[in-house]
Amino acid sequence: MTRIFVTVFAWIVLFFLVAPLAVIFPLSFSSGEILTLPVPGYSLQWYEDFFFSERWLDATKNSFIVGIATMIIATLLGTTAAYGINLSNFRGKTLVLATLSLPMVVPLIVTAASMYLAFSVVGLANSLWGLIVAHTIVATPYVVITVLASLKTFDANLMRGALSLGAPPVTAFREVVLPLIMPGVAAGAIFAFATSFDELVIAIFITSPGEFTLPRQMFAGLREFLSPTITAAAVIMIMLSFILLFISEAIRRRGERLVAARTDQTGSDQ
Amino acid sequence: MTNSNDPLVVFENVDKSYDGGVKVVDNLNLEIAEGEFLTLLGPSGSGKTTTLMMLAGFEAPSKGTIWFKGAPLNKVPTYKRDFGIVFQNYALFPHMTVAENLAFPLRMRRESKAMIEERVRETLDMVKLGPLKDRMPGQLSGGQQQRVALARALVFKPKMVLMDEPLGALDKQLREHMQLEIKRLHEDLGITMLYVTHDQTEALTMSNRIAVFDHGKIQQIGAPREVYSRPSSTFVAAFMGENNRLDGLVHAEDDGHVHVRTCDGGPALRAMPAADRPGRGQETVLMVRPESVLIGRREDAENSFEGRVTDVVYHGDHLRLCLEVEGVGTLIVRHLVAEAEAEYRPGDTVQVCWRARHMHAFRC
Repeated sequence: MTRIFVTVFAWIVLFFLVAPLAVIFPLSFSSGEILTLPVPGYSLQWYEDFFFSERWLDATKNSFIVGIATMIIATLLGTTAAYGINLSNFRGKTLVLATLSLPMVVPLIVTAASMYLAFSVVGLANSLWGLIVAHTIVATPYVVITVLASLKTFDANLMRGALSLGAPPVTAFREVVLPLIMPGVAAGAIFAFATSFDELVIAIFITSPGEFTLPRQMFAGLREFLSPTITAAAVIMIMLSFILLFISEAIRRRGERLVAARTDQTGSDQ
Repeated sequence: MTNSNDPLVVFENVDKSYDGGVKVVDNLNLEIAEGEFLTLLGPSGSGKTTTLMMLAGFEAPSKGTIWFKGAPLNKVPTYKRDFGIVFQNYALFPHMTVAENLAFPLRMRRESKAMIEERVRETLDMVKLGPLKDRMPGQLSGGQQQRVALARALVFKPKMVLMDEPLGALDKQLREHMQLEIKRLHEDLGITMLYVTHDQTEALTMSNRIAVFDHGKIQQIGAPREVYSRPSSTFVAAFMGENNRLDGLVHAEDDGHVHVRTCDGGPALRAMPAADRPGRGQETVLMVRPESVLIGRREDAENSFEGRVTDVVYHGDHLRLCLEVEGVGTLIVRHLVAEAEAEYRPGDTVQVCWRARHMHAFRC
C-alpha cells in the first residue's frame, strides 16, 4: 500500500518538475506566429529563424566565448586555490573559505549591481571581458568546492612519494595529483561553464546589445519581440544542458572506477 | 673532502617543535654510518618518525643541522636528496601500473627508454614481482604492494633508503617473511638503511644498530644484542621485551654485582648495576626477563630459590609459569615445553634460578 503511494507520489513530483519544460518542445515546432497551445501545426520555422538570424548566432557565439573563458580561468584559479587551502593549515583558513564562497550566497542581483558599478569605474562594463571577469568570480567557488572534495580522498603521502622519487613540486602535481583529482577538476569546470552559460542577471547589467549572450537575447526576445524563436533557443539550451549533464556523469563514473582501484590507505602515527 | 670513515649522515643538535610547543625531537645527535642498517625504535610520539621526516626533507628542523656526506642538508629540497622512501601505506601511484610506478623515478632522472625498461625489469625480478608488472596497485595484495613500494624506492639506486613502519599493515607471517627479505636486500646491495618501527622484534632481527627513542631523545643506541641484554634504563628494558620488575634496596656491592633485598629479612639477590649505578643504601628497580629465569638448579646461577607455582598457561612452544618466591616476590617464567621435565600444576613447588648478569638493577 505504502509502496503504491510512494510510487504515485514520485511520478507526480517528476511530472511537476518536467511538465513546464515539456511545454516548450511543441511550442518550438509550432507553425503559428504566436505562443499558444495547442499548436496549429508543426514546422521548423523558428529553428530556421534561430540559425539564420545574426542576432541569435552572435548571442550563441558570445555565450560560448564567455562560457569557455570563464571555465578556463575559474578552473585554473579554483584548482590552485583548493590545492593550497587543502595543503596548508593556517589561522583564518575558515575565513578564507567563507570569503571564497561569498559569491555563491550573496544574492545575484546584489553581486550584479555592485559589479556594474565597480566595472564602470575601471571601464570593464559593457564588454565581454567584463562579463568574463564577473562570471569567473561567481563560478570559481564551485571549482574550489568540487576540487576540495576530491582532495579529501587524496593521500598526501602520494605527493611526498613523488617528491622523494625526484619529481620537482610542479611535475609531481601534474603527474600524480592532477590525474587523481581530475574528476573533481572536470566537474568544477563543467559547473563553471554551466554557471556562465545560463547566467542572466549579471548579463543584463553588464552587456549592451552587441555583447548579448543567449539568456540575455532570450530575455530581450521575450520582452521586446515576443518571437517564438525563443522557444527554439530554449530547446537548444536544454539540449546543451543535457549534454553537460551527460559529460559530468561520465566523468563521475570514471572517477568512481579510479577510486575503486585505489589501494587501502592507512594513517601513519605522529 | 670526505673520508670513508666519516659518517654518511650526522644529526647535530637537532630540535623539532611545532609552533614553539613541546619538542617532538629534543637536541638529537646521531650518526649514521655508510652501509649500516639503523633502526629508530620507540613508542608512537617518541620522535622517531619526525626524525625520518626531517631526513627525508618533509619537515624542517627547528634548530640544528643535518649533514649528509659533510654537506648541510637543511636547505636541500626532497626531490634533490636522492633518498628512496618506503611509506607505511606504500604511497603507490594508483593510476599507474606496477612498471610505471617503478619507471617514475627513472623518468624524473631523464634516463633513456631502454635503460628504464631494463632497470624496471631487473628490480622487479629482485623482489620477485616480474609477472605482475602490468597490474594496477589496487589489484595487488598488501604484501605485493609492499614489495612494489620497496622496489620503487630502490630502482633509482638512491644514496640511502628510509622506511617508515613499512611492515605495519601486514599480518604476522608476512611481516616476518618481509623482515628477512629486507635484510637480504640490505646485505646484497650494501645500501644504507634507516628504518623506523615500534616493533622491537623487527628491530632486533634486521638492524646493525638500534636507537631507542622516547620523549624526543635517544635513550640508548647500540647493537641489538647490547640494547637487549644491557638496557641502560628501565624504559629501554621494558620496551625491548617483557620483564619481571621488583623494587628493592641495595645493601651491599662486590666485584661488579650489587646485592639487593626486596623486603626486610628477605634473601639477597645479586644483580648487575645499570649505567646509573645504584649505590649502597639506595632504592632500586630490578628487572629480569621471563626467559632468563630457569627452572631447576644451575652451578653458575648466583640466584637460586624455591618457588610455588600459582598459575600455568600453555603457549604451544613454551609455558608461562607464575611463581611466588618467599621474600622475593612474584616472577613470571617462560619455560620451553621441550625442556619441561614435569607437568607443572598450581601449588607445585619448583626450584628456580637465574644469573646475576641477567638481572639489572636501575636507580629509581
